[in-house]
Amino acid sequence: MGTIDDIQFDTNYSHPTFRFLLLNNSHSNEAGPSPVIVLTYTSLLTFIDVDDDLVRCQNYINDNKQKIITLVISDKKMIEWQNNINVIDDNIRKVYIFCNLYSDFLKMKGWNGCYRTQIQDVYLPDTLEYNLLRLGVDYIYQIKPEFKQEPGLYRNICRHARELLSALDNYYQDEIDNLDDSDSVENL
Amino acid sequence: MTEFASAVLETLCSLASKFILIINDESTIDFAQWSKQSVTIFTTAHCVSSLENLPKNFEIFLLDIDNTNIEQARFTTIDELIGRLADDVIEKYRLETNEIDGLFKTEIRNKQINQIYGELRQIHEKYITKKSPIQTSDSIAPILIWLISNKQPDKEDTNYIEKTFGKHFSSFPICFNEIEYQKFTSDIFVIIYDHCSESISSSIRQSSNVKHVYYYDESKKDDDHGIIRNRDDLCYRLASDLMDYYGKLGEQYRTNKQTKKAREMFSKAQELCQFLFHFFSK
Repeated sequence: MGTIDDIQFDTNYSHPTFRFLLLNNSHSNEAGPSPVIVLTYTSLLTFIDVDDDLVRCQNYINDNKQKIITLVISDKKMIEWQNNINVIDDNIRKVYIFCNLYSDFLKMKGWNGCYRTQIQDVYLPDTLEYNLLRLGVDYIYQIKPEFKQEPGLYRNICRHARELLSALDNYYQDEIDNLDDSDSVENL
Repeated sequence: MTEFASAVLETLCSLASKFILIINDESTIDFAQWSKQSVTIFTTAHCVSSLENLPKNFEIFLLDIDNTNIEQARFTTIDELIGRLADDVIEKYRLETNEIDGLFKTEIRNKQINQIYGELRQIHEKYITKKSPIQTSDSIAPILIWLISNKQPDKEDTNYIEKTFGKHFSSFPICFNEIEYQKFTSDIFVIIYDHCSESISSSIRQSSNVKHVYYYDESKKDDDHGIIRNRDDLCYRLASDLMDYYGKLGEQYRTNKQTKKAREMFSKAQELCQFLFHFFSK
């Protein structure tokens, strides 16, 4: 069990053209309850480069135009981004927003600010990890050709994808096992 | 109240009745009885003026369309206020979870919280985005359409796709224009084969039953990232998107307590998940 802060980035994933970034809330200036999103598979989410510094993240994306970015971002950071926007980076291709609160989810579903056409989905806390695992498999499939020249690394990322798939397989199995037939309206 | 707000309120009341008390006549209530608990009041600007001498531990959220009151946390639409109420209820569940010892109880609480999230997501889809993915008919498999302008798709491709995904799509029709695909009312995945005009592809994306659109063209050069250039990549995308599609359906049936259908959907998602392994075998 862990949180987004426990994700350790594997620097091998900084080399490909495609990058997977996550911009999280900064906790230092934030009072109140601890983050509600609990992750089970932090040790598998090593393809995600997590940051909580908006300006550093923006600079990286802007300085590395050749990199194509998938950005997972918290609702608060999305608003912060909108308020501190200098340029629209066209190398940000896909944006996924995650929210701790339903009221923020409603706000983000109607988001009319920057990158609105890049937004693929908005997540509530219960589905973030499932979607990160799934996006991770897609991400590794996408970058795989770039590792063809390095058999060792190529084998490693393929193994990593299989581990992510195993986690998804377990996830679906848990969903099946947890279904409660006595609860079903189909028996009525 | 909006349809959305009353649906959320109704759901919260049925799932978490112990946390919610609806008061229609504030004069009959003695608020002092809760002076030791944490209480949050959701009300309108009009009502709050008649509430006096509330205990200090009360937190108040106001629906105040005219922005007249500046002291309390205010919301200008009922949907926002109700959204905040939902968060408060979930937070109460979570605090309760932390207080109760024992992993088993924590698991039950988490299941209840996830049930609330699931229902809230569905209500949003039903009333705000108006995209309700649950189909009423019994045939629930989506359709895979090949949309072509003049060139027929490669027979080897179509046969291979049909053989691989025969269980997951109900049919694989070929269409020449958007009028033909508009007659299908179930969920649709579309492969745009060779190049179609921009106007067609943007109109496709607007149809609510179109779930995924792929551009498939083996002759295209490397520089366009949106285009799928080989059959393997096409199969990967279809399998991955189908897995998520069935996973979402499973979640929706689970939320609606249609256990049998939920199990069927999760099993299909799991099957596709296992199919994806071979893309990473060597």
